[in-house]
Amino acid sequence: MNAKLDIEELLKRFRSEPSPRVKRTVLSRYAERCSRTRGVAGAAKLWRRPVPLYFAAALIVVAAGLSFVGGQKLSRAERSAKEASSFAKDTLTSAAPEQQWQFAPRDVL
Amino acid sequence: MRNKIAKLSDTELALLARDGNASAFEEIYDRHAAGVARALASYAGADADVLDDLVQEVFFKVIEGLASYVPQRPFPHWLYTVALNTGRNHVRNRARELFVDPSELESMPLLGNEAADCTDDILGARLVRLVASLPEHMREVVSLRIGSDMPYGEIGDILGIPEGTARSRMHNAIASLRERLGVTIPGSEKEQT
Repeated sequence: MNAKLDIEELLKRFRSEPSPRVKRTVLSRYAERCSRTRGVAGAAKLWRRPVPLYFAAALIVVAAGLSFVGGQKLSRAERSAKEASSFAKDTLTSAAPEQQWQFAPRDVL
Repeated sequence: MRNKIAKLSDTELALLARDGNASAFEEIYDRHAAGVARALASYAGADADVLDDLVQEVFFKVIEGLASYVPQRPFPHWLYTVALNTGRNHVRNRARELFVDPSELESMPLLGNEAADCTDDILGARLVRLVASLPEHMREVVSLRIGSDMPYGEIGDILGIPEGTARSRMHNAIASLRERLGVTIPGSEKEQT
């Protein structure tokens, strides 16, 4: 007798297996999908990669770029400082006496 | 290899299947096809042929969606969400309300006291058809519960409702099914979590 009939259990026990044709079709679709790419995801596209991975890659690129630009600026600054100092040296020491800087007595007084 | 695959969790299988492991995908199908079919049968009240098409459609969507599957979400949640949406589309496209005529029920043999002779399979099949005539909000909960055997908390997560609401909807659905079956049966449905 169904005196202890449990409706939820009855529903869960209801057998509703899809036909074998469905399984064949689904598996063949999967195989077809995988044959076009590596796995269903295919070759990992940049925007599908885990965020930390390309975030780290972006950081490295930015750091490399900054150090390159910084290096360029530094060497340019060094060069121009060297040129300026040698120009000053030349001007103050090796120019003709009349072109050299002189302190006029009135300037001192 | 097959034994090793069988021991893996659904999420691990999904990740393997995403990378092209056919055995993992087949294991996913074997584990869930019947549950998905049961959930769809009760949600959409579909015939066997239509049910086959719906199950096929669900797994086609899974194949396409696996590429973007992230393991933060348990695989069964995702699978049954896809199944539920497929059921919803089917019901919407059918463009008519699901309704089981009470006179049709009366003409069915083995109702009332005759249920004593009714096999569980027949009664189960009749119940599944009756579920399809329940209101949408009850049907969703019942379909997920009998298809996946998920705890109410997870069903609530999928449907975006509190666990208590999912539980009470299930309770009301069972009461309604009892009434529609027309048999007075002492309740013994489990209040599992």
